[in-house]
Amino acid sequence: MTPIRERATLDAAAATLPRPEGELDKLEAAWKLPRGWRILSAVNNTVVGQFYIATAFLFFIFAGILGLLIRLQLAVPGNDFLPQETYNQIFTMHGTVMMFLFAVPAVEAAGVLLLPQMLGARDLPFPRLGAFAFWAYLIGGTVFFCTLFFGTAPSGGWFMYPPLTGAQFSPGVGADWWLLGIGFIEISAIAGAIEIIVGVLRTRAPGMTLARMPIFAWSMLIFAFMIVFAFPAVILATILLELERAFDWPFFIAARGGDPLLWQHLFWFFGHPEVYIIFLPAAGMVSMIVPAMTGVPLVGYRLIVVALIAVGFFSFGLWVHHMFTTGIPTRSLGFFSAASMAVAIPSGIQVFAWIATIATGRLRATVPALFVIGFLLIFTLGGLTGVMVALVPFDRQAHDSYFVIAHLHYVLFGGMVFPLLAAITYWAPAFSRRPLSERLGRWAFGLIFAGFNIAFLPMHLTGLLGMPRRVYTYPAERGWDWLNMVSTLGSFILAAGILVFVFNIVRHFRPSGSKPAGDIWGAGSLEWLPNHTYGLRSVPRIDSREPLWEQPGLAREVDAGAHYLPGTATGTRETIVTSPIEGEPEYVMRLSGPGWAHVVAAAGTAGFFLLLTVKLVVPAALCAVAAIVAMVVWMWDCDPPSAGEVDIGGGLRLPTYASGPNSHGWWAVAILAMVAGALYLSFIFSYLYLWVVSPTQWPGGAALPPLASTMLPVAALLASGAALFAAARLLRRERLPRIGLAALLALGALLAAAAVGLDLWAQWQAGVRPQANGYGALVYGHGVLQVQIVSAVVAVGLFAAARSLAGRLTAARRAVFDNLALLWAYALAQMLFGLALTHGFPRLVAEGLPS
Amino acid sequence: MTKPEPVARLLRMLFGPLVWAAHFLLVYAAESVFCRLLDGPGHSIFVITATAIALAMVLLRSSAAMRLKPAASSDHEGFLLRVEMSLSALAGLGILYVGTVGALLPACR
Repeated sequence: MTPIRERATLDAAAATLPRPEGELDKLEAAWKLPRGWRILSAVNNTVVGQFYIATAFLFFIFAGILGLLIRLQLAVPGNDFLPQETYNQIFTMHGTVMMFLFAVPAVEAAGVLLLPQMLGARDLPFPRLGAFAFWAYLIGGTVFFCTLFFGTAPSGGWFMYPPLTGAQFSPGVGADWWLLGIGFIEISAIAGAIEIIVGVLRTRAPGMTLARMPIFAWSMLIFAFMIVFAFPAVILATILLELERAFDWPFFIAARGGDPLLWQHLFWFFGHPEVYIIFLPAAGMVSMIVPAMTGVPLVGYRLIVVALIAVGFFSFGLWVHHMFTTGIPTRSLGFFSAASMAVAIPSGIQVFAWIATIATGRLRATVPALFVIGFLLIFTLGGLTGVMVALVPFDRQAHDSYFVIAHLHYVLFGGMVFPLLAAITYWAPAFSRRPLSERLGRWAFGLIFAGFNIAFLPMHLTGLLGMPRRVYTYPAERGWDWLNMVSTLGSFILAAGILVFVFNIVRHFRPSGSKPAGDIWGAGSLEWLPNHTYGLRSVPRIDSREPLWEQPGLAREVDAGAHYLPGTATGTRETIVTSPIEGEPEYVMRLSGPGWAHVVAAAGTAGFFLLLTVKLVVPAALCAVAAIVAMVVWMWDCDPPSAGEVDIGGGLRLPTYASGPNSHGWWAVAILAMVAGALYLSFIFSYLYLWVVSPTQWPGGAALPPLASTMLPVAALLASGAALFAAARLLRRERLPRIGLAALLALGALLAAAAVGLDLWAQWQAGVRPQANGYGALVYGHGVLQVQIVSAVVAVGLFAAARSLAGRLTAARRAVFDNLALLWAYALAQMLFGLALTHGFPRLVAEGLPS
Repeated sequence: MTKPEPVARLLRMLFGPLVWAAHFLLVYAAESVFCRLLDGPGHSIFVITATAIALAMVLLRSSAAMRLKPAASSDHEGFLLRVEMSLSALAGLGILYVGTVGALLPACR
């Protein structure tokens, strides 16, 4: 493929005017939204994004009500408003819902809603995947929340530490709801992250280099990469704890060679970056709002990009600062304390850049600006107390006290909720016929700002006076009563503010795909161009960071169809794929339209996980079958054949098909392989960690399967690789033997599966049992991960084989094969490494190192 | 055609933070290994050596980037180089922070 990179024009429009009659009608027809209740099958980012944000906000309100119940219980000493177990469930659900069902989905939803408009794309690259992620989240989240009404909600705190959450101390299904429900919702978050990464890197408007990309897109890119590397750690933790609870594999039971601290490591390796996962997009929103409200470009754009990337990295070196009181050696604590100090520098850079921008321009005291000011004040205070708890001696005093509750709310509410409220107010006119009311917005801001500080500022003192978190009541003589009463009053003022905010939305937000209120703020970024169900009428070439400020007539030109892709070049939904750094057009990607398959797939997947939690195995299996069938139906038409080269205007002709490293699908699979790699690395960490804490559990050479037993699995893996190689060669032929190719793909994938089975059989034959000790649990836990990756290869391999038989996999139409090959190659590498790890490492430590 | 060059370019931009991450992981993981197998001083020497090497790598790469900067072929190339250098500076500071801990605090206790 030879993409045409010549630049059409700098100043003149790309397409000739007036546009031919009927062009706009065809574009509208391709992007037509389903009517009535069928809107639920829509996949447009504007529709799904608004559903997504509304759902996340609903969970915010639900979790907020739980917060009010907590405050009512603690308002006076010795209160019996809530029984202890109910209180435990309520605070667990408050934290869990706020973190997993509100914060991450809300910012991901903002990305889904805003990014295509901001980047000049018609939609994100995988619209059905985005819709699938939303439906999975909605169904899974709703069922998870409803467990509270049946008294079966988890009660072990939002970070679910074992041994409290192990089978011995939490025998009900509450912990299982958390493990399976939240684990599943995280998978949906990863799906969203993959879509965001590919969307930001590959679907920007022509000319939008990385240096011209809106800061919000930068923040979402880093946010999504952080999800890719952080979430697998907690997914692994949930898998291991669920295996322990369901099958008695003692990963976290110290007496049997496990270690409960392993959970804390895995959880916080996710949990600390999670704070920044939530904060970075919010910071990105602020970086978009401040220039619009001051009328000047963001000061220190490059430094903010640097700060975002640096925070993304440094935040992975902080996880042990949640574990300062667990007995970890002093020097290790020092490493994490130092890293905690280091992360304050890039965070500070951003704060100073915002202040400098405000100082450079003239801040209009609009509602979004007020929420930004509130954010700056509250988040900075939270950041300062963050530096305090990053100091080991102070943390030893404040740990698990209300000081920490105050700190985390200042950081999270200040750092995420204030910017989100600012963002909702700011971007509402881009999607609503009328903006939100300024008057109601000011009332909401005043009540929220005052209520928040009245509720949470006293908690610093309550904590320093010694009140531990999570106690359901306390005696009067401790001196905590008046502080708690003030906090409770504040929380209701805060709730009143949220109520006013919601009333403002209900009263004024009127969704409109074609006639939104528009750019009432005088902002400079692309989302303020006239937007329709198909996004922009035509896609302009971008020459600056604030194109609307630099090119005053741009909105008119874009809407007249004067720029790239003013209609539909292939008669279907499509968007321009550009190069990741320079943003130069490479090909035209065709996008999926509305459908029900992804909805059924989401419902089936959610049903599988949720029914499995309550041990309804047969219905769970039926849901899994429904999900798989729906996914096959969904994917079957996702790789249409090339429609040749098409003219997108301005003398640019682009191909309509791409496969291999150039294609958006291949990039998505590459990121998926990163997720699998992060999951596997987390496992290697767990494996080595349990060896460090319980080396005597590791068997000597005699108790291990003989080395010769690895010959068969290795041979099967090599044969599987050979089948893949042969299939790749076969696919180059013009006269393709369809059956031969299908047989190679199916056989090769099954050989890889056989390798996993053979290895596990050898371990079993050698007498290794998963229930015996931590080592045995790890060996079979490793097997579970290998089964998981090989299952993906088998599923996609059989899918590709079926496409070959149907004539849908050819030398020219090979994206499915190229994507499969990448996943397959990764899986083979992981499985070969796994054999070396599980057979080599125990021998190495038995023979070479003292234990 | 989008070949691995853009990915390699982005990774080059992230060189400093990647070195920071490798250094951090290495010195943290090494404490467990050294304390199980050897006495504390071994780890101190290891941390100081690893810190010196990591800082040298970041400095060398930054000076190379600085030499390239005037010849940057486009605005965005210059932007990426400046981002790379700023990231390296922050990463160097992070490495120094962590390395100082290794030099000042006792190991294995």
